Amino acid sequence: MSYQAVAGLEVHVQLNTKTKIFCSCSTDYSGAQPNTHVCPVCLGHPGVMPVLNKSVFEAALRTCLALNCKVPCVSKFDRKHYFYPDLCKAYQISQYDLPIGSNGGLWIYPEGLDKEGRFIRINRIHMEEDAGKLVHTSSHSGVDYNRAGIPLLEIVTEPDIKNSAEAKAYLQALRQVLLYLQVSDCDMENGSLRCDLNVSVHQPSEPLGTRVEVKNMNSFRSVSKAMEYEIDRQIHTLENGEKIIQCTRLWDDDREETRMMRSKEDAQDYRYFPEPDLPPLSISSEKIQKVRQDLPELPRERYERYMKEGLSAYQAEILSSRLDLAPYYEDAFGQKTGVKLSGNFVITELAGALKNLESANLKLLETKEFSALLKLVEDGKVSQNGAKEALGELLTSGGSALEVVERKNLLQISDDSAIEAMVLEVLEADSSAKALADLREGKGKAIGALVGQVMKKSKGQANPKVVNHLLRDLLSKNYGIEL
Amino acid sequence: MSQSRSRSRILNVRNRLLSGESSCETILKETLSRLKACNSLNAVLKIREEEAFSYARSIDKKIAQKQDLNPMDGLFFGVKENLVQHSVETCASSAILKGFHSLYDATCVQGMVKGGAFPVATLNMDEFAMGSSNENSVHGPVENPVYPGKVPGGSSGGSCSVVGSGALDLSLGSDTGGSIRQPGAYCDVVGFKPSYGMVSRYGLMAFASSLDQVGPITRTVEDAALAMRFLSGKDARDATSLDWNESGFDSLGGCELQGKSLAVPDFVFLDGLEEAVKTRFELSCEKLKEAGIRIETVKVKNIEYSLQTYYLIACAEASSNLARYDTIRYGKSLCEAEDLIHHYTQNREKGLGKEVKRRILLGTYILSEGYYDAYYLKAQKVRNLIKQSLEEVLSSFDGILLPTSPVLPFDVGSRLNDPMKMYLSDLFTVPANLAGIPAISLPLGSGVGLQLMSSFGSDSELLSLAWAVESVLGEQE
Repeated sequence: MSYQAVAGLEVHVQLNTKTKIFCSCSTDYSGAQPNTHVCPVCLGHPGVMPVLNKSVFEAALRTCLALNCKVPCVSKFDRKHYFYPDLCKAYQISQYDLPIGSNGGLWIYPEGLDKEGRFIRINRIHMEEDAGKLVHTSSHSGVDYNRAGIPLLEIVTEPDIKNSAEAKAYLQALRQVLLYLQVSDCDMENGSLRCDLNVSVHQPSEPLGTRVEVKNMNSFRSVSKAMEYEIDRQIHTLENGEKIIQCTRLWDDDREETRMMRSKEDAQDYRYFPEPDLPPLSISSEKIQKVRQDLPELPRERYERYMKEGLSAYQAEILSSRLDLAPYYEDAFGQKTGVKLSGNFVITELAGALKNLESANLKLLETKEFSALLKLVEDGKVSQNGAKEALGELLTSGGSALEVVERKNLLQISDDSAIEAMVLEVLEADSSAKALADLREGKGKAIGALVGQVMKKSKGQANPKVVNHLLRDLLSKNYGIEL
Repeated sequence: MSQSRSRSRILNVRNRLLSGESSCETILKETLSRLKACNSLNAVLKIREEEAFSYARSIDKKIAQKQDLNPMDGLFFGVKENLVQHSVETCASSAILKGFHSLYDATCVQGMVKGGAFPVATLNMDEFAMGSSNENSVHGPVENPVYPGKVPGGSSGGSCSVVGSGALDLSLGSDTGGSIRQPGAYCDVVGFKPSYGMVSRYGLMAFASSLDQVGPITRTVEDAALAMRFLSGKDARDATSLDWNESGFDSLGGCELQGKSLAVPDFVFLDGLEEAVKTRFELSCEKLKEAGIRIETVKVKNIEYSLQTYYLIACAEASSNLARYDTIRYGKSLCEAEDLIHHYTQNREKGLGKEVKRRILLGTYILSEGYYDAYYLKAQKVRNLIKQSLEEVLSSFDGILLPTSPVLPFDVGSRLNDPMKMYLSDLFTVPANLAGIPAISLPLGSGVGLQLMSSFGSDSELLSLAWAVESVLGEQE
């Protein structure tokens, strides 16, 4: 008997708008004292009313269109009721039967962007408000409402995900799109992206199995792990002749297992009904058209463009996924620096320096300085090694590429007459006799020693290519040695 | 309107101020002694005496310095206790909010204050505006100022009682199913429920959000119109508020009754209409006909389902709106509970009154899975049908005419244990809330009100019509 798994993901992302979804409180509460980013509205005081933040609507609309969702001409908010101290009004303003987006989807490439992709359907996207947070101490529990009213998008897939690799690929692809749209920070660790998993297993010939919901994963890795664990557990249960109970389970990251939180019988009745304080949203086709036109380039489009520009699949994949590095490539490419040099330098040297140099800070390096540095390499004024050194300096102290190169004496001498003088001097020196003798005997490798001498004399600043060229020239002309 | 024809109490006071006949401080002292004299009605909860005196002195200073006065300067008004005021206890007459001080002012109160008026008193009401007799209050029942031993009506019983007693010329109330108009009729005052959204609900403790509306309670139509100038308008904090031209409330005159047409829905004459109400109503219809108004009895389809529809929707929304009252964030905890669930159940059990709990339970049931379609959704559909048939009638008539309540003010305590009978007193007022249309109750005396309704958004036209009707009927003293 072979089982196959089917999973769907429910992702909550906090939108990075300046203010909360229904009031003008700042959303920038990280590190703030509890209950300092609150007002009567997000505290649900008597008499208050919500007013929709237009930026939330715009961000939601952009996201829906980028994720290929259909946007209805009328969308509305609903109240979802449950009692818990983190929910000030005892209901969450959410969307029930007319969400802002539905029937969309996202291409994922679990085996790499150059391999065949899979389309994961998105069932719906809706807007809602985040709840506060309970803080427990030994003696009591407190509630911090700074998070209450932070705008959320809930993005729900169809049960199209077959394994943990696909789950991870979906989350990565989704995160990419949201980062490209600049609607969220998508940081699972600080909770700006949260994910619930629905998973079931069944025999290929049978209908879908009983669904189990898993909560409390705080990284893409734990989503993968939880999915693998849950698939194994369900198969094991079925193989033992037992039934799967529809329930919600919690992922324990330390013990790497899921455990029962509540069964379906305990499921709450949320008593949804239309939010009477917010008029339905009318969305014109002109509006949709406008937002669609203004969408930025999306990850897949960028990948394909990079490929067209001549980057390798590997480089295009990395650069299209690294929004921090891509601008350096884009600028260099725009400055007509060679694609190969730009690609290599961004992916190998820039990424490497960021990883290896503790004090490296990308903010110190302006894209135009990076491009200027590559231009110096291309013009033969700086060696690749010299450029690496300069890059390290730029990333730790900032400044202009030219200034750094000059200060660190990294400029190459490419001036023929200056190098010719040095070459002649080296050839005439007594110390070169041995090398000349070797060359006469046909030991071509001996030229290396002469190049080395010239480089030493130039304090490493002579362009090795020019040195080599002139050396061969003068050996032929003055010594009759042909190489 | 010309001064000679003005029946405005507010303008009368203003004229005393402007002519130098009385200082604002004198007017305040008179107001305070009237408020204290009606102490036995239990309508007044808190008087902001000290602040009122400094306000009065500032007005007197303005007059002395010959500064221009604001239109409402020198007016002391009352505020129903479900309209929040900064640093004034506002508990919606509920034990669960005892001692609650709001962090902000309701927009409607702010509007009146901007116009120059001073909110001198908070007024008793039915708990969370649920009731038709003002007997459901943590502060105890309110008495009818005109008919001793009778209820003042509800839920704005306190607001109508103080105006009916003559203590104040204006108070603010809220009307979800008749809570301004029914007590207005019972206390022989003018009660106006504007179109839904005409007055901001921001700061009104919500009972049923899709039905709630704030409005003025006055002695004359003219004063209601004056107040509307400062109450109406778009509020950025209430997404359902209307962007309407306020200037419409500036002039009432010029409404010619000759040739006007009014429709009386035939369900008015079904069982339950008390004889005394019927007599008064028919008498006033005769007077209006004499003035040249054409009055016709019409069938308004589905209007007989108004009360059921209203209670389904109102209770559903109330169960949601009142879920936040758990004493965790505000309000004093009423008991020590062993765990969270008991904190909720015990505090809400203790803190909420019988009628409020009845409606919360009903509403919770109505919204429950499996019942939503049968009750809430169906009620919304019927609501739309009622709205349509009222609109249809209003497309061929200038207004709809009916008694405000089918019954006279009843004895205190007589209907408390019979909720269905209690709800019946709102039979004629709920249709306007369901349709969102403006409606006004004019006093006919004996606790009977004449209710006029008109099409959505035609609030100033309705007030003009009511003003002309008031002239024909004669002011009730």
